Amino acid sequence: MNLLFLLFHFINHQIEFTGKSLSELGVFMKLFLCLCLILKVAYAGQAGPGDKFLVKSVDGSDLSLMKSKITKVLPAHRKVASPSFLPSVEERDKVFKESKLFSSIASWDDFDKDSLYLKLSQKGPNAIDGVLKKYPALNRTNLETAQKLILASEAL
Amino acid sequence: MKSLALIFGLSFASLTSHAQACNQSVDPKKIVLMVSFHDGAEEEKGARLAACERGETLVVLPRVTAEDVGNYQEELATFLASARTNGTTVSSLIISGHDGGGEYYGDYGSTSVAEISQTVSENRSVFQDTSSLLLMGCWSAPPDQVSLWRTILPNMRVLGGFVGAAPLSIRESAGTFVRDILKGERRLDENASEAGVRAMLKTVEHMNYVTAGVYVQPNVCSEQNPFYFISPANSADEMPEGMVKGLNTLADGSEREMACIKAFGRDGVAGTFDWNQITQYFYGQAGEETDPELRSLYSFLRNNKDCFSEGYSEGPILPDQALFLRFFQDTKKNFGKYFNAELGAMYSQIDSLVAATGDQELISQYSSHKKLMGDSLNTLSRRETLEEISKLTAVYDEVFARRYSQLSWGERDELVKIDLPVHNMMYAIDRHLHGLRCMHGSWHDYSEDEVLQAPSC
Repeated sequence: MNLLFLLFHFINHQIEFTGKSLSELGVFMKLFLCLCLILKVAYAGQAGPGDKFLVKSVDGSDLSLMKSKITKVLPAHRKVASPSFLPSVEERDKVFKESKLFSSIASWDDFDKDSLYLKLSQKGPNAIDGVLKKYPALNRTNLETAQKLILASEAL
Repeated sequence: MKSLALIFGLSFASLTSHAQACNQSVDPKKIVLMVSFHDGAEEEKGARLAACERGETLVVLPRVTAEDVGNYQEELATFLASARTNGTTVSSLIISGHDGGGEYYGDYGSTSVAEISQTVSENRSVFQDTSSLLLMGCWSAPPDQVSLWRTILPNMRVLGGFVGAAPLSIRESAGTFVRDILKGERRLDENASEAGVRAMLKTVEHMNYVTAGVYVQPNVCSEQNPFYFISPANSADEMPEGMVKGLNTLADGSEREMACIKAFGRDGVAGTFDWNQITQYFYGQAGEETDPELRSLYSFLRNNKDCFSEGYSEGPILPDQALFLRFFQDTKKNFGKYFNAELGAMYSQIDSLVAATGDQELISQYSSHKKLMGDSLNTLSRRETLEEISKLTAVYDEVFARRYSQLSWGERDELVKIDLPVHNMMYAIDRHLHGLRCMHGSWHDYSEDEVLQAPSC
């Protein structure tokens, strides 16, 4: 495409340089010029996501590559997809209720309940110890029941 | 000649519509409010007849005379001010204009669902008894639009509109649709069963020749599923998903959709949740992560989590992000722990770049920006963390540009290769620390000896 544009400019330049008018050009040359013009108009301003823009730094050097790279690598955080790790409120509360943990933590709000659920969803022997360290009032057996239910539900 | 005949015909229709006198007494404080943005002679005629039978007064905005057209906004403001003062209520609302389904416009002005929603919320007393709505525009009454209007006019029993192209306002079928829906709504018993709803719909003349979509809820206080009628005239590609031609019921999904619209709004219609409050926490502009307000905001998001999963609302902060926001200190520590080696490598790269520029001013500026790792990171608040991310990005951009301009073409390619890990790390910082995304849920809780799960994206 760039080659066509270069040719177009070259012919333009030749016309200006030689002082020839358009009517003096051959039919093929006229057709070629038309084609170049159509392509130039059609493609003007159609910059896609992969396009590099000519950006000059203060000293005049070309920073196109750098700019395109930064914008490609650092998109707005909102555009990053992220699967949710939280179960539904009903599912979460059902686990706590069935494991009889819920009655003892009835006053807990969603933050605390979600935090507890996520801690229990950790596999490994230290998960329950970690919870008890943070919430010593909770019953170990009930916590184990809750953890089994959570892991069995494969909600995460 | 044809044009002359058309003009003559229209003028005649208009005259006859205005000439329709109501032979029974009407309540001047019960209004059928018609907002028409184009010549709606037939629609107005239908509305006038129905209003008369309902014993109500028809008000048409903007006023159109042979000389000029009134300003819709000004006339509406005047009407509402007067209605608020003297206790007038709008029992039925008719909106007529091109391109329904969000916007209504024509030669005489325009409005939108969002604008009307705002008007209704600012004039609750005027619209508290609005029980019927007619949307005389194309695509004005598919189920999702019905859900939107139900949140705007909670006492709405009937909504009549179109699921496809609406008839022109000068067509007879437009007039009969307005007339018979309004009459039917008034006659509809609040205990009406499906048979009663069918009977009401059968009274609407020409119903089967237009692409009608009609919502009917005989009793707004009942828990019975509302009805939704689709005209047989609708083509297959105009049919809403899961619906059949004829009478349907709006299933539970519609109620859920409504709950989401009420909570978070849609199409410019405001919900009850104030996004500004949580975004202030998100951007570190206000509050601490222990604030009770943040807890209640989180609860709201959490209990409406389903609204995020099906595109009802793409709010700026998802419940997962709010959880990390509440536990930001631990999240931050886990980030530092997980990316410790990469953070170190990134800072080394930047150090090398800064030193290579030989710019003393830049070197002194940058030396204060190494705060996103180790103990330094642990002491930062959300606001300070975001400031550091912003500074780091700005400094890096500047340093890179400076160094890039100092190098030859061949050397630049090498620089770009070296630069990749730095960018990757900055991307991770942006995703996790700034965006609060992609981390495993366990990252919200810091534990020295726990092995962290890898980020999910």
